[in-house]
Amino acid sequence: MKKLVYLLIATVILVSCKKKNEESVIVVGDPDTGFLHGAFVVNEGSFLNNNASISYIGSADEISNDIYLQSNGFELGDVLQSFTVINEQGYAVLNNSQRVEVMDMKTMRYQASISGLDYPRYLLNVGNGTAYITNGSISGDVKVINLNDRSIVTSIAVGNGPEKMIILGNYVYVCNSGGWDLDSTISVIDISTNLVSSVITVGDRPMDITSDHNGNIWVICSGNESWMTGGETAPSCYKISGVTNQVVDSVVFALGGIKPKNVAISPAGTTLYLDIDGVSTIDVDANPNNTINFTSANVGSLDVNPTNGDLWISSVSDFTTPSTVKQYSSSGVLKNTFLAGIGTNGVVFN
Amino acid sequence: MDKSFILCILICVFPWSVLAQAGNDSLVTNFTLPAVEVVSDRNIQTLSSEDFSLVKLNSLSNASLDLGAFMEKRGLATVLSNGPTGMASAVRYRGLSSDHTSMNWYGIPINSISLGTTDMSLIPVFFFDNCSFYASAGTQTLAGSNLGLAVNLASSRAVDDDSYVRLISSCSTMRNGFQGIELRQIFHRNHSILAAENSKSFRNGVLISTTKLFFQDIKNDFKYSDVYRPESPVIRQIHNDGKNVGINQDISWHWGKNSIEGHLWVQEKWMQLPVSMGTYSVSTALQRDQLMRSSLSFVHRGRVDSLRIVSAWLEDDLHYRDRRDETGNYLIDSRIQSKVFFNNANYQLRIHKNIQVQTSVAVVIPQVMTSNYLAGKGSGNWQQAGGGVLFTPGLNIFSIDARKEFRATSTSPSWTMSYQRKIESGKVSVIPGVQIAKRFRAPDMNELYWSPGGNLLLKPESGLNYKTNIQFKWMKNATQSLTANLQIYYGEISNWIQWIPSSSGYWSPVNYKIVRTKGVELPVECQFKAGKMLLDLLARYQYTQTIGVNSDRWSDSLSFKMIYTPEHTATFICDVSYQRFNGGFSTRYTSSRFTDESNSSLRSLDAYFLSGFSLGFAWNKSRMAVQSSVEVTNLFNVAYESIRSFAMPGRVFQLNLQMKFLNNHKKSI
Repeated sequence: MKKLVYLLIATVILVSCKKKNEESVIVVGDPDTGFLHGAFVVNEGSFLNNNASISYIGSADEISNDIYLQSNGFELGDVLQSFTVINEQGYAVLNNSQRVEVMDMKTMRYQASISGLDYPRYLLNVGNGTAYITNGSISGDVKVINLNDRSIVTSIAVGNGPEKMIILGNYVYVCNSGGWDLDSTISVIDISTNLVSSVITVGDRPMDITSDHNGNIWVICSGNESWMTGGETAPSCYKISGVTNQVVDSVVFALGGIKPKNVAISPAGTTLYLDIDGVSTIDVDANPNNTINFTSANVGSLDVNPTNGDLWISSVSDFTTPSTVKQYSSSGVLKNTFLAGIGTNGVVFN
Repeated sequence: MDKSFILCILICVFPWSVLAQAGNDSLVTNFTLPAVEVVSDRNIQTLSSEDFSLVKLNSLSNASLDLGAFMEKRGLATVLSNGPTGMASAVRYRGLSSDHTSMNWYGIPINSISLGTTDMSLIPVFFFDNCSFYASAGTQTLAGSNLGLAVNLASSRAVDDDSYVRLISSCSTMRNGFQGIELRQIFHRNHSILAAENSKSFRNGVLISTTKLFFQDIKNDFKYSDVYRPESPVIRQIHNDGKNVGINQDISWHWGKNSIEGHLWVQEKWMQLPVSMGTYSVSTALQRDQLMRSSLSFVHRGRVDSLRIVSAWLEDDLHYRDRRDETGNYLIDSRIQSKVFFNNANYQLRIHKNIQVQTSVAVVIPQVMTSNYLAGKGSGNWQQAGGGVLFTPGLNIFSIDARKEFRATSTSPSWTMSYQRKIESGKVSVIPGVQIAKRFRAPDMNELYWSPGGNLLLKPESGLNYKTNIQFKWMKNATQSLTANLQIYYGEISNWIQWIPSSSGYWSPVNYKIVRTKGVELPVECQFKAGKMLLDLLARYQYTQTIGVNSDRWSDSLSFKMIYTPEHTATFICDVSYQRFNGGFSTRYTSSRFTDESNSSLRSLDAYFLSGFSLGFAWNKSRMAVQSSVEVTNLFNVAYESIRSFAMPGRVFQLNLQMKFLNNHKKSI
């Protein structure tokens, strides 16, 4: 009996030792430039699960999922809101991890973290070794980051729930989506002073922004949800002069439909893509009310490859299964379908 | 520890201690027996008898556990926990979801009508003596409908015991403390309790009152390696304090074959919720749960019939707050208040020596008040009626029952058919059996009314379960026995409700999945006595394979293994007692678990062994019994996760102390 007990205890001690994760590191990408060039699928993962990931699609049109996890042996973090490549560094903005992870784009190896953020959303390179990060679930600000030492230089107060930004000349335009509250403005920041120079009123919940070949700015507003204060409002699209910062045109879409959150522009800056009724297009030089349906596909995210004009559309069925990413030519021909990570919210090209 | 609370305990204890000293000098029997798991003998008096039960829970040396932790320790089910003591935990049985487990209290369903589940951390083991488990049956015995496990909690009548006061106290290296007091009083006019209980006169009955009060101070002070941060730094858990306080009152008046019983359960738990691993900031989330459950019942236990009429009032108040703005107000302030008025009558009658019939009706009036629902509230009264027959010719046992629920979301009747045969030879009995059961789960209030996303068009989930089992029992005497119960099961659930992101940008529940589950379960328990040493061994192995498809039609090519479902779990528990000493060793193996439906091995949670050890000493004198024990959990300091990203503690030492003061005076009324 004693021998049996000893044997049992010894067995338990042996098997109790934690097995190390011995997943092998895969090597993909160009031998010289590694992961520096290609399409990066941004998979935010499911909330609280620390399963955010980046998928890589190189010139061979094959997808490699979890490239950060496989290169580093640890997870990227929780809720990857956005990903930006600046020179040879990648900046992964992790909303619920409340940090930005900086990585070497050749190897995808971790380099540093930027912390001090409570609700980071998007990062934009504004030049001179400086980047802006939108931050805040209600009252928002833009953090000014020194990319050399990854420190927060200053904060610029903007509207509620700041989301995507674009840079046009010496100004940055920030969509104040409202976050967990309400807002319907665009804050314009002068990069040279890091001060808000003007505020433009658009539709409810401006979510995404781009600019066309005429120097005009286009903003997609999703409209308020029915459960928000004041009830549901219609989605809309606004055209703003990049010179005067005045609204020059707008389109209001039907109530009760999909809440659009994405806008993208063709490489020539002439065709606008919106996630209305699947994906619709607007000729930026024509009447914006004349939308043309591009595809009726279910849209989670919508991005245009600035090199060849291909349209990349992701769809998310739920937050435990892989997302589907479809690559269309600018003429609407489906070129590829990829299975990416969980909760794809965008594709970044470099 | 509040001084006022210690003072309160002293005030409560002192008169009882004096009272106890005045009693007879009879020896108090050791009250610290380990919890006993009983594989049911299929008592033919009950139409749907439990598959197994746990008794003497309240006598555990470590009574500070919640039911989830206790079930996990015994290997009864997979218990998913968001962290250490006090954090929300949910039972997943045979790979099914936590809202497929029906928790019942004296036969009254207590699953939250808003969430559909029961937070196991809100069920203190200290409050209950008996816990019955119904693996797939229970249609007539319990009012709650279950697709998976059904659990019924109760306290024992135990009229053979006497008045006593019991104190329990424990503290751990996580700086968690638990203090409990139990006052049990028995009043009767007769010479003996048995005579009082057998008296046909109402006035000559016996009154039994049991009051249990506990206070738990939770610090959850532990360190963990944050594997979700670069270089896996060691982090000390912060923002995870909590308080848990509750009172349970059972009062009953017994006369003849009848009794009137009242039960009250009031509890409040307040917890700080820490951030998940990998997050750099400090959490601001708080959860405060308040509950009040009360019931009044009349019970008649005749020779050929039994009747139980129960009326219950249940209230839950679940309050979650998170993120403070500049003014200190919470940006998220979600409060869900639920009220349920429950009425049930159940009658059993033996109409022939081999035939027993049973019928039951229930009326349930629920209401949820919350700003999270579009109209600020949700309701949906429902009624149910059912019946069944038990036919026991010779050594055969046939049973069939059916129940119809009348709801807004109508369901077909649920039903159970089973057959068993008893084969006995000397000290050995073997009982093979088969069972088929059809079950439903109606959508919960959140699934119907949550704004945005609630879906009033949801259909109930339905499940068809098949089970075959064979029980083996060898019993030489009370201290030398061996029992085993091999079960093989298969089940399919259709219209599985799943929340998914809608095209409108918010999440909405839909009838989304088909899930198939199959497996094998084998618990083996044996007791041996060698001289003065008593050895109690329990081994349990479970193989579970649960596969789903996100479609209303099955497709093997699209199927995936369900998340957080270990294929293999095994538990081994060895309890030894020798004179005044007792000790125990336990180990539990949980195989790896997928955390996403792509079944990525990169993100599966590692398999782990969790082991524990305890050593205790019991001391009895006159009217007082004392037991102390030291318990070590996670003996080998294994890093593991129950739910992905939530830190779990490593090795923890806990000191437990129990004192029982017995009063042998018969109290007259």
